[in-house]
Amino acid sequence: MDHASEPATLAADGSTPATTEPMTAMNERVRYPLFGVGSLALAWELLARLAVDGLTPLSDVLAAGVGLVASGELFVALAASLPKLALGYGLAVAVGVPLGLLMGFSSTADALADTPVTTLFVTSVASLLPLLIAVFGAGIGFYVVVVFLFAVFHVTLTLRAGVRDVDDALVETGRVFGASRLGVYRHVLLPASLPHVAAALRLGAVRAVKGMVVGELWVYAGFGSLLHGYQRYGQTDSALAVVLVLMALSVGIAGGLGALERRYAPWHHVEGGVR
Amino acid sequence: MTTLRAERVRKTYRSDAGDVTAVADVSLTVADREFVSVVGPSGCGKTTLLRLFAGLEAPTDGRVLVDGDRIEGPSPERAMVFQSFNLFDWRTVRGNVAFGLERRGVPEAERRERVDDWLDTVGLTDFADAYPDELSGGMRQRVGLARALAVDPDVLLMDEPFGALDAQTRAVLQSELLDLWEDRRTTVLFVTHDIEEALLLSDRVLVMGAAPNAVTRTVNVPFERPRHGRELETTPAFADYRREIWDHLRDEQ
Repeated sequence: MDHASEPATLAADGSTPATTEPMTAMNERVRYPLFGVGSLALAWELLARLAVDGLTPLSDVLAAGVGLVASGELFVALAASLPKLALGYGLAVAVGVPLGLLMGFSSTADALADTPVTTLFVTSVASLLPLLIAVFGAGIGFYVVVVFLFAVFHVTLTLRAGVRDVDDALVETGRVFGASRLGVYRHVLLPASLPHVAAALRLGAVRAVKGMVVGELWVYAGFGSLLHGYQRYGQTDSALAVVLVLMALSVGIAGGLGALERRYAPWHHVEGGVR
Repeated sequence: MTTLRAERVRKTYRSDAGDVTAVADVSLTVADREFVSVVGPSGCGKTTLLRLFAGLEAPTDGRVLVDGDRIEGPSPERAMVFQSFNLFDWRTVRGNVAFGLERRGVPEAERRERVDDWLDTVGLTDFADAYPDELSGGMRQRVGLARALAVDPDVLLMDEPFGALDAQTRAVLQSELLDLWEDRRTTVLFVTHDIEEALLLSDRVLVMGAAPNAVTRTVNVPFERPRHGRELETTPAFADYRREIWDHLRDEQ
């Protein structure tokens, strides 16, 4: 249906302006994931109670989680782990975003950086851990480097792929309407890349949390020492509670970045936010 | 005064399979304030011809001139409207229309006034703050048209601008373009594969053939202005012209 001839009619067409998005669509965005998580939780509980012997029921895990909060252990772990995560991730973003943009924008930069970045991307960071300890010691520097290495290549390569994806026709359009060489970067390529920056940051954050846990399991600290301690003494419920906390941390950071994206790159979400 | 001129223009692209000739030996002139359409089958090089005038491509041989000066690169003096709209997704309707004025450093207050005027002209005032993805195809091309006209160009280059629209929307936009142009009379080079569209809008229709990709015929369109699409299209004279171009195009293929 096309009401292009009559803009006034279009305003009444509910599908058109984002501001009149039907409430049901909003609800679906919340309801469907909740349903998914709920089903999973129920399946876990039932399996543990009725079928699988070694599996700790979810309710026990949640109870252990309450204990984790009450005893203050969770906050000790958070205080120990979050600074490493923030530093490592911050560095990964500070390096990965400019590098990814540069590789996407310039074929020369891409040719220069492609081999080292791709090689390191496919290298297992975990296999480098002994080497990293030898170089950086077992202090905070070690964890920061592990988090950095886990995240930086994903940020770089996601962003490069996204920038490459920007339609050449938009660049030409920018030139036709008077954008200078520099103006094309500033007013076309950069804003067109912004949604890809957001995607790269989200992926990088999830990788950074993984890096943090791997580092802390290698040289016990923060969440790593919590996990290790509980597992060693058979406190599976508490160990799983820690795992849930870590999942929540990843989801929370990714969700926060998603909110930032909706605020600073709103055009990317006007059609249901699935692109 | 703005005239476009192509002198013995040839454009070839190198490819792995050998050179491809997109435009072979084309000479043409578009007079000041003249509306000229180029029709032809797909692959005849009509879009390449437009891109040469836009300054997005350089000719392999020959010269492409605006007011006698060789075209060195793109310029908002020769604004373009694209088949696939090419709107900036991250800008609102207002931001898209303002793009060219911003690049020219037009002061904010004046810019706003001019943008608002154009939004009013194309009937998008209520959608000034919407993003392109929220608009229908017809509305998007209205934005494309307003973006091009807002820079007050000497020449309007239009590359099958209504080719992606449904028939009804296309007819509406054609008649809006007619009104706009009869009001303002800029020099227009309009590429299309739609013979009726070319006859309805133009002072002159250039027919391009494939192999060789060259202008093989010029048809002067004498219909009086202001023109009204539906009435004009049903006249016997219109049908005669349509048949003439149609026959000619068929011979070219």
